[in-house]
Amino acid sequence: MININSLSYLAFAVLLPQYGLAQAGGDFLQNIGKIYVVVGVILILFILVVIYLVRMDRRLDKLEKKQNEKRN
Amino acid sequence: MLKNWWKFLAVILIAYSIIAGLLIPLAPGITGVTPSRMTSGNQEKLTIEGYNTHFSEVVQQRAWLKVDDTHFVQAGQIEVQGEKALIATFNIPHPLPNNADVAAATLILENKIDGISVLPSATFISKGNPSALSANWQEAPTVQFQKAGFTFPFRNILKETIRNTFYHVPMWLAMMTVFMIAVVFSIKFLRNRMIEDDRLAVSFTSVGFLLGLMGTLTGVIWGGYTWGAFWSWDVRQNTVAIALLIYAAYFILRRSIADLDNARRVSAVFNIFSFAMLIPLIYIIPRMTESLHPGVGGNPAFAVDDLDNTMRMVFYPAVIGWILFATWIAINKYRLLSLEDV
Repeated sequence: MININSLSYLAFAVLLPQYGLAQAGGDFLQNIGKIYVVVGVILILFILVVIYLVRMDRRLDKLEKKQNEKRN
Repeated sequence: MLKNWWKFLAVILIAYSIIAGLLIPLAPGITGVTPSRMTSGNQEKLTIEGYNTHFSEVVQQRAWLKVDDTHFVQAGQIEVQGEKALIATFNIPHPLPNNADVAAATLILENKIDGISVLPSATFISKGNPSALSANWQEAPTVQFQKAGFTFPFRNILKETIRNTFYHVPMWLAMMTVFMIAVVFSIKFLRNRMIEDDRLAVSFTSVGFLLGLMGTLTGVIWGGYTWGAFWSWDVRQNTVAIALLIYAAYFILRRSIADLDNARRVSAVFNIFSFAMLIPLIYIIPRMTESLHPGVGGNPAFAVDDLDNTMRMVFYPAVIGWILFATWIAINKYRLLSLEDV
């Protein structure tokens, strides 16, 4: 059985049409399928950092509220 | 939610700079020319390799070799070999201007879709003999076509790496902003002795240091591909390393003093010193000497020649996004420090 996770499916689906082209490498349009993978990966990593920051924001809000209530 | 609007803006602007910065194509350009040696008075065939070009889609393609501003020769015949390959035939005039022994020739291509592409010192013409084939030097031609579409400029050494401008430079600009905010809070702390100011100062300094490290790292990778070495001992690389080491000393100094009040005071003073060192190190010294880096050392100033209008549309949002993002991280660190009551 082949276990295909979503990322390898995405890479496979994007890169598959490239086998139909006969151009030599180097041109932007020829690599455009691969650049989408790069953009996607970088965006995913950035969104993960943002999610971490948002969670930390919420935890800080909760802690600050608790501290204010303790003081008052 | 509404008071956090700037955090959303930061995320959107950075995500936009990632998407637009990586996906907008480069303008057409010239990547290769062979042979690199030609002789005046001869008929020479130049094999030209293009990048993002559309040679087979245009009806009229023109090519010139330029030796100086008043000496051009147009290709007599152009054979299109594909979208990105051309063979141009030139009848090189004799003699070279000022009867020189050798001259560097710039290749200029022009067509309706690609506009004008230029490769300086594409080939070298050495002195030959007059012959019946040689034509006369021509004056500068009038070119009529601008390239179609929304593209980033094609620069001969940078090529696709020009996209790093949207990540490397905003990090440095954000670092400068954040360090400026940090020194303001350090000065405030020294005047009012309020602990919040010191916490804000150390939070912003931390984020600024992180941005400086990331900026150096992105610059090192960029230099590895364009300058040929990861660390070129270039003056800007050196001064930036010194500035970051000084800021690293700030953190070590802060931790090394046992008494907390004393530590806050001494580190606030050191922060002012560090920022005062930052300005000459990063801005003044590199401009006084030779450098590889754009914007200093005799190179054209950054943001005048290095950015064009298409790049500005991605660059300015990226700068704002990174400044806001850095502020978000700094504020969170400040809130954490306040809660820990240190």
